[in-house]
Amino acid sequence: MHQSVRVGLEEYLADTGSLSEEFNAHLKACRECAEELQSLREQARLIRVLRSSEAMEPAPGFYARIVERIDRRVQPSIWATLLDPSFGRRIAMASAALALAVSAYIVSTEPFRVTPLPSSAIAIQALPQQDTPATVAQDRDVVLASLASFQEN
Amino acid sequence: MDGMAGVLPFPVTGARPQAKTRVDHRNSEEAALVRRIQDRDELAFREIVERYQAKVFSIIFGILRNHNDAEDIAQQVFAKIYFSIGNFDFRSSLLTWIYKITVNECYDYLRKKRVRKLVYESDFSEEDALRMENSDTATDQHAPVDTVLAQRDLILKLLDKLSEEDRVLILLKEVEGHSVEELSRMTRMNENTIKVKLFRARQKLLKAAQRLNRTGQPVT
Repeated sequence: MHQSVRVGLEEYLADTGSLSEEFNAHLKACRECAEELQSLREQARLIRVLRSSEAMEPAPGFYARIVERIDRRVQPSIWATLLDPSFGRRIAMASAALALAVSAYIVSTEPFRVTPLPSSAIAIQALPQQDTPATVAQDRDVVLASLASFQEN
Repeated sequence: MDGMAGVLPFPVTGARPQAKTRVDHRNSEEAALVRRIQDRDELAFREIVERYQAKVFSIIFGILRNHNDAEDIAQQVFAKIYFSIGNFDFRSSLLTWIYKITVNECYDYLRKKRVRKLVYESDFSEEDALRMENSDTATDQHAPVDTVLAQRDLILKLLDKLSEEDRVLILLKEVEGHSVEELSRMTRMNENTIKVKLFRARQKLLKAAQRLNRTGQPVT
């Protein structure tokens, strides 16, 4: 669109009738501008479809309903309280303190058990004694003597 | 609203002085009312509601043509005004600011409605969707088309392609019928800036409409 038409565009679309001679002369000579102006006029007409055809008033009690809505937003919900950063920080601190107290209690009440090292004397005593060949022979003799005495009876 | 940054001025025509259109919104009676709300004066807020409720309702109804949802959106608009009035910086008139909030709420509503519709349609099987689509086409060919409704849907879609500021300017100009001079006073931008912004917005709308015509698909 040429500059001379662009300058008077709003007056043209508003139908104020105060268009310059230069504007009108250009419009007669320039087909491109005339066509574009036609499209813009159609577009403006289309936008005016959004004009409200009737005067509207809200139903009685409208202000009270707005105040109610505002109050609902002002009163925090339980979720809002929980998600509040300062409240969350306090919860986290309290949880950490509780965890620390519980671990201290567990550590202090745990019975003290010492697992002896395998090389110590106590460990050697605690190990199951392995049977030596001498003790095995002794046991065999005891069994045989018992059997012999049983047969004699 | 933004200032004049990045805007090419129109050549100044006529003898109308630009400074004449500048209005200081800080010293108006309205500004005093705003300051009272900023100080949490409930009576002042009530006054704002009573003063602008009819305007807000008519803007919403003009865009949506839906009585049922108009009340809910209007409540939301005034709740938003209540919570954000602390940020109102008097750079524009209170009406312009309220107008912007109202139009934005309407567009939020339309977007949510579109998403709900998509979710609803996704619940259908492919076969159901195809059947519905075919029946829609059959109906469209024979039933009388509500031209005004179709035009409104089209222009709302096209306006969605503009920035918030441009959309409000176009609506204030065409729907509310304000002159460039009045817009200049309401927004504290000079008349040339308003003209440039309107021109660019109109061009953008034309291009979006042309793309829509070429593809036959909604502009994305």
